[in-house]
Amino acid sequence: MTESNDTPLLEVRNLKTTFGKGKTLVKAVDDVSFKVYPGQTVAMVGESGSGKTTVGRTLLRLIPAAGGEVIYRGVDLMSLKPREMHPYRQKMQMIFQDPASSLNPRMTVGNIVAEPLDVHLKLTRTARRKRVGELLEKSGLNPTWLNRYPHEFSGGQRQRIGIARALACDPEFIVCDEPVSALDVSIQAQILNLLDDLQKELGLSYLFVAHNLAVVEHFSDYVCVMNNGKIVEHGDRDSIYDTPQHEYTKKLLSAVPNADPKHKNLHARIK
Amino acid sequence: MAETEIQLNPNADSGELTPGRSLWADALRRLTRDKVAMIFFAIVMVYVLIALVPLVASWCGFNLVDWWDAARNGDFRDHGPTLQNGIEGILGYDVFGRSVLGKTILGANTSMSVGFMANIIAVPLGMLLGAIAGYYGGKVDDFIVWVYTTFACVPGIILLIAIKFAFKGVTILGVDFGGMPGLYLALAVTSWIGTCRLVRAETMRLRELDYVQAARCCGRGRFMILLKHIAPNVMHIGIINFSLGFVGAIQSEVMLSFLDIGVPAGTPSWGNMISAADKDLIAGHWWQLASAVGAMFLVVLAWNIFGDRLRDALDPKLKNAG
Repeated sequence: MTESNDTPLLEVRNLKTTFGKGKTLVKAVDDVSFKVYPGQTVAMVGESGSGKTTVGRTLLRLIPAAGGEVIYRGVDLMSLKPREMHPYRQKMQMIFQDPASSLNPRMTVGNIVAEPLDVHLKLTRTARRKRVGELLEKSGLNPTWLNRYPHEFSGGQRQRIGIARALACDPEFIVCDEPVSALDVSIQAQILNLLDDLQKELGLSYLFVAHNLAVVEHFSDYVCVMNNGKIVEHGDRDSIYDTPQHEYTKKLLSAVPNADPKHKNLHARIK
Repeated sequence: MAETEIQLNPNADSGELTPGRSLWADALRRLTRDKVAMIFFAIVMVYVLIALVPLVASWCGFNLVDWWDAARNGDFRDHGPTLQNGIEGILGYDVFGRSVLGKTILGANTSMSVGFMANIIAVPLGMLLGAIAGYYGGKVDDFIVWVYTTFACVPGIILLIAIKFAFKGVTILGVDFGGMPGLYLALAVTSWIGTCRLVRAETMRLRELDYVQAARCCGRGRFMILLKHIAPNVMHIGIINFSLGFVGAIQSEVMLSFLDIGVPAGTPSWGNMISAADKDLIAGHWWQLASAVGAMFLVVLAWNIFGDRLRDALDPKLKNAG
């Protein structure tokens, strides 16, 4: 991983997201704060429904926030009007969990990858085509596949298309919303290696949302553990994995299956 | 799925970057290669051309309806199909001794225009309002739902009759809404609701999908998302509703002609021919009804099959099928 600078690229302060109102009000994200430094990967872990995906979507303003601040390079994104948010969208992207539903089935791969370019850069047709080819190549795909449709690709390749789209406008920060959970294990490793290589090459910062702690252990610099919309524990990867403090973190870590059947009872499962 | 399994079309990988093809260009290419689609499209086009003949003739100062009306054959009143007078009598004669073949051909103009015009207004209107309601949600959705629920509360035929009467004698910008334009509009106003409901529901489903969220994430505006991501994915609903609505509009035209408020009396139309069947059938005169229904059957069948093929051509998943 790249060295962290002193100034955070992104700082989330007391972020709140709610759904419904009155008696049906649900606090999906409740007073969440964390920082992401340039070139750093912050992992957001927790069980299903803990609010980790909602954090990622809220800070990109795909879901309205109920309160709090998201400071990106000194600017509070939550106070911006939609039009003022436009230039920041170029620098903040997202990779989605389900590669099948994150690609429009009626658009060619070329047009999918070029969408951010069309919105922000307005390139000439030749430059656009060249850039799409470069992006596909960078993501490990054949650049001549740009006329194909998403259904012609396997899950891993679709996720690579999603990554190519996220990289289109040279972003600085990417929310990776469980990017490997829908893929089989061998493909998971390939996608994680790709994300790692891209981070080294382009100096990207990731907010890595995951429920698989084994994946997070290999991929993150800093870990936030979420439960019921709150961050219950956060710290460096090693401190979280070696000396977990919170009961919920201990439970989560104890639930990680051991790959070696001989040692399957090495750590007792905390219920 | 394994990473290595996708060499579906190795010929495409020539190593050169070819320009992208749009969904419509790709659909057109596949449609023109589909023989069945082309045969049925040709049938639809023959109907369109037949429907255009009286119109072109009237531009040239020749009234085909008057000519057909005047060419009565008094000896053949209510005569069944015969070859005695050549092609003229092939489908028989009506009560005034006029050729039913002529009536069917001239009726195509009215019925095709009713079917097309009513749907050309109703389907895009339903799709537009449905997509706006489904995508924007909130008060916009509430308002559109309120409008269509209000329309849906009134029985279709009553609303149709009310609109037809309301348009009587109304002329706006030189268009006489008491005549055919009023009929198109009345049929459109009563038939957009089904399309609107379906498109609204589908848009609500689509707007939550990740590819729409990805488009929002990269800064696409709402209108462009509707145009680029929602519209192509609800197009199949429009195509199917156009096919169904085409038949529905002709049925309504028949109903209105039967009630004497549809196509002006004396104008040949399939609706008028079918509504005349109540007197004809008792006397055993089946040919007028059979000609109108047969003509309608063929065009509806052709349009439905062509519509199906068009929908398939617009679905990239079926690109390699068949």
